[in-house]
Amino acid sequence: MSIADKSTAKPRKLGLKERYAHLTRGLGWETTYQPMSKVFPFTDYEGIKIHDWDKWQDPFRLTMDSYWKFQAEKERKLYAVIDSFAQNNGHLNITDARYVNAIKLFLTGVSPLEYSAHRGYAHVGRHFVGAGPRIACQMQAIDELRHAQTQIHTISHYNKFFDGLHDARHMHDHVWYLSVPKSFFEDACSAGPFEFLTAISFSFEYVLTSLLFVPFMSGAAYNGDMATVTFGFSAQSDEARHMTLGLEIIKFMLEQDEGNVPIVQRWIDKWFWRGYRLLTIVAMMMDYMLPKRVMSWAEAWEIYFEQGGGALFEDLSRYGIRMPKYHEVASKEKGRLSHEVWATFYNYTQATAFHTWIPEKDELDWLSAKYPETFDQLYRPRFEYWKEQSDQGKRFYNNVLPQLCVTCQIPMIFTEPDDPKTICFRSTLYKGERYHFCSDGCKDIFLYEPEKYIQSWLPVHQIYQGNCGGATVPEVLNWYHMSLGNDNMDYQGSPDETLWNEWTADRHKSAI
Amino acid sequence: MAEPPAEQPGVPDINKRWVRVTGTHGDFVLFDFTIGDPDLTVELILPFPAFLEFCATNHAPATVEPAAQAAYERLHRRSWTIPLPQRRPGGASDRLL
Amino acid sequence: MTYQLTIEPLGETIPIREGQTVLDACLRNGIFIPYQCNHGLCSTCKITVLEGEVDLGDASPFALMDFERDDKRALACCARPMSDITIEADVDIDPDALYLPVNDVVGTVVGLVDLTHDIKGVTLEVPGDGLPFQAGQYVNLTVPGLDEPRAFSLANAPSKANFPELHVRRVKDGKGTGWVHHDLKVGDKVPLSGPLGRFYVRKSAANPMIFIAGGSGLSSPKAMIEDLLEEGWSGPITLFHGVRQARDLYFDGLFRELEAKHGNFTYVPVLSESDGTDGWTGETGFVHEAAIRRYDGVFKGNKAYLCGPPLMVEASIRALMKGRLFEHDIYTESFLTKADDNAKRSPLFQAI
Repeated sequence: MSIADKSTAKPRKLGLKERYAHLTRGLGWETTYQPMSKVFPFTDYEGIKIHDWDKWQDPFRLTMDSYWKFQAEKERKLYAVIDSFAQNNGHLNITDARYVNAIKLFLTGVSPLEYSAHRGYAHVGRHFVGAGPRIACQMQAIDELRHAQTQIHTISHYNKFFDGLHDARHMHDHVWYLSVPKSFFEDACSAGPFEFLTAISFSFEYVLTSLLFVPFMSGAAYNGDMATVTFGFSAQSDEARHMTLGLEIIKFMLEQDEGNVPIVQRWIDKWFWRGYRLLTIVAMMMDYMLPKRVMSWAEAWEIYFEQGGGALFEDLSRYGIRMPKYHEVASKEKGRLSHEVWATFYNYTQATAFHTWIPEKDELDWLSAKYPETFDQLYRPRFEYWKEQSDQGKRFYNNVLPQLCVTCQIPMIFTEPDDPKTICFRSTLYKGERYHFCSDGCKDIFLYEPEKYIQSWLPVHQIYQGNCGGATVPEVLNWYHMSLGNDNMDYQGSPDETLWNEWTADRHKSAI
Repeated sequence: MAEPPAEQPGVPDINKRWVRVTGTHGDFVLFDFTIGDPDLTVELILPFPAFLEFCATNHAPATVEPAAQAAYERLHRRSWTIPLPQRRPGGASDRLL
Repeated sequence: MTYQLTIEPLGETIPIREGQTVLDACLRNGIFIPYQCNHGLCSTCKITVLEGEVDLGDASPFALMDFERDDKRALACCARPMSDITIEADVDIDPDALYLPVNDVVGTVVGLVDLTHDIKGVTLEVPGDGLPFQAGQYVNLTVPGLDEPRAFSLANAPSKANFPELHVRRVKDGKGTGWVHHDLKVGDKVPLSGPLGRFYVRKSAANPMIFIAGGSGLSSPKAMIEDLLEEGWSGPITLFHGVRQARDLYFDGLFRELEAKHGNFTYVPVLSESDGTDGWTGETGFVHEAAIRRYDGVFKGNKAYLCGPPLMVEASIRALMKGRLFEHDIYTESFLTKADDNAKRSPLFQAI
């Protein structure tokens, strides 16, 4: 048998790759009565040069038909499980009602990002010239919409019993600390299509997403929150496709033109730092908000970035791409990040849509064990002091609004990379105004595109300018749609705690 | 207690749960957790003792992928007082039932 | 009982025994279906059964969902035939692959020659059809006393299918190569299995070719270049052969001869440890550095074939990529010893 013999036989079937090529053939036509540059106005201005869109590899070659079939099957089972948990009072199986505060943070901080991602991918899916990236982005736009929906549906069960979950969309658009995730995504969505994919598909979905989802889902599962685990099913199984898009866009840009390399490097630097700052809330959740802990933030950073990311950047170095700028600063901060942030939220508990607390003694011990070089020396005494003050009826509240970093919008709470006792404070003058930054990473990002960041909607500035409902805490909380004493303040004495204690008391009674 | 509802075709039974160990990392176990249906699977990571507690709490039988077997047993030897979850049945079968 | 297995979109039909998996039958017949775990867990080898019946075997419910089973999907590594079958697999239609079946043959040693101080040339004779292969492929050789066979590239041109030729460098404390160097005698019978591997010349692309070989990694490039020149390939071919010292070069005379005879062939031997006292006037340094000098660092538009130790292959890939030649145009055969292949890789690259 040889190849020659077969050429006379019946015409062979098309391969999957060829069939997909035929299926998508003509989707990337050259326009005739309008110039291409007008139909695709965003493809050039970022400086990325593409010579051959057909070089785009789509390893999944998914058609809409099979996408619907596959997702419909998955979703049907998923909603059956969500219903079962609701009917079986799944919320009673969590370890402790304090856990729900992690869910509150997720619903107000992360789920709206899924929706933003939906919009972002739908937008860039329209603006790529090549059919390959257009289709990949359109599929992902639908995925992200599904993720937002399943998360809202899942968490809505907790909203029947606990405070702070009633108006996530409004809060995301108004509340001070939620401007951190909101502005992160708006920065990406208002960039060009290539930067958007580098930001979200590569830097976030590929490089950093494991740090968000795996520890979060593991925390949910270990703390008995099977409802949240169910939306993990939905999100994780789409992840392979999303991560592949992230790798493919990077390879594609790097191989298409040598001039793309420095542009891609700058985006990787920028979006690594932006994403890392965003993950601060995850650090806090892992170290402080889970009644039963999975791993420390420092451990997660080592496993998922230092080791996992190390292999990726070793491979990328073949293209002349190096590790993201300031990755070493992130590693230096891993022993302090979560403590600095939880302390800040404890300070401002009057304006958070979740409850805060001082960790119990065994929790402080866990932190001491996980952070032997920093916790006892720098943070434990402070928490113990606050506990003491609180026990004497002098619970500490910070009544001064914090200065924010113009880039990441996080209060200026981080410390010098080489000195954990000094606040890291950077600033620059631009057109006669002074702008402040939490880090060299955030300052660099501003300096490259100052005109973009001087437009930032900074919550503290807006409050002081009178744009947030008024000048007093109750007025601002009202504007946030937060109910004073219910949605905010310490867990101890909260309606959540009262309810939880009643349930557990009932359970003990019926157990006897 | 009320009669459990008759099982509907295609509706996953949320009381059926499985765990499949896919790897280890230091003292952590990497595993897939499934509720009711293989479609509903999520990747998780827990420290070894927490992992055993998790399997027990969820009444989830655990299997170990061949590639993870050796590393998993090493973790187990270090905490020998805790019973080892059921091994993968011999051969190539990965069926959990 | 043997059935017929037809693989679409290739249109190839091959025999499959009762009880044999679809994946095994394909691999045995030179048809490469992507696979990973080989026992029903990972779903990399998912196929569609177009005609006939298969036993799905131990495919994991995780890897093959219920609705996929209803849609006639199967995992090639677990599926066994229950009738003649036709499957569709995600195989790349590679116009350059000959899909030659793997044969188990016995070769008789007819030639043993010291090519260098540590490389032995072994010529075998295989009667009948010999051992047909595509230049660049390798064979597995059964070594007495070792459980696993050892892989060696075929160095002869495929036109000499009855006389497989192997180049075996003595690896320090290596049991297989020690046996070849010390125990093997003319007249010995050696069981071989092959051809194997997907390292062959992509003749359907008309691009100029660069071969970079390190040490005894010359065997595949030798077969490939002899094959090309025999059939009158007219495009430019450049061979870089990197060794330590002049005494490590072999077939130097043959390649100089070929270079004189064929205007399209250039031969560049490179010494990394030339100390200036050996009278060497050729290229020195690492082999990829010589390639950079010859090509002025620009490799775009070529096809590159790399064969040698992992460090040489990696350095060459980096040089080629810096010169704007990427994964799609780079083919590698890296010989790994047991200690290699521990390096953690990301999924950024599949083939290189």
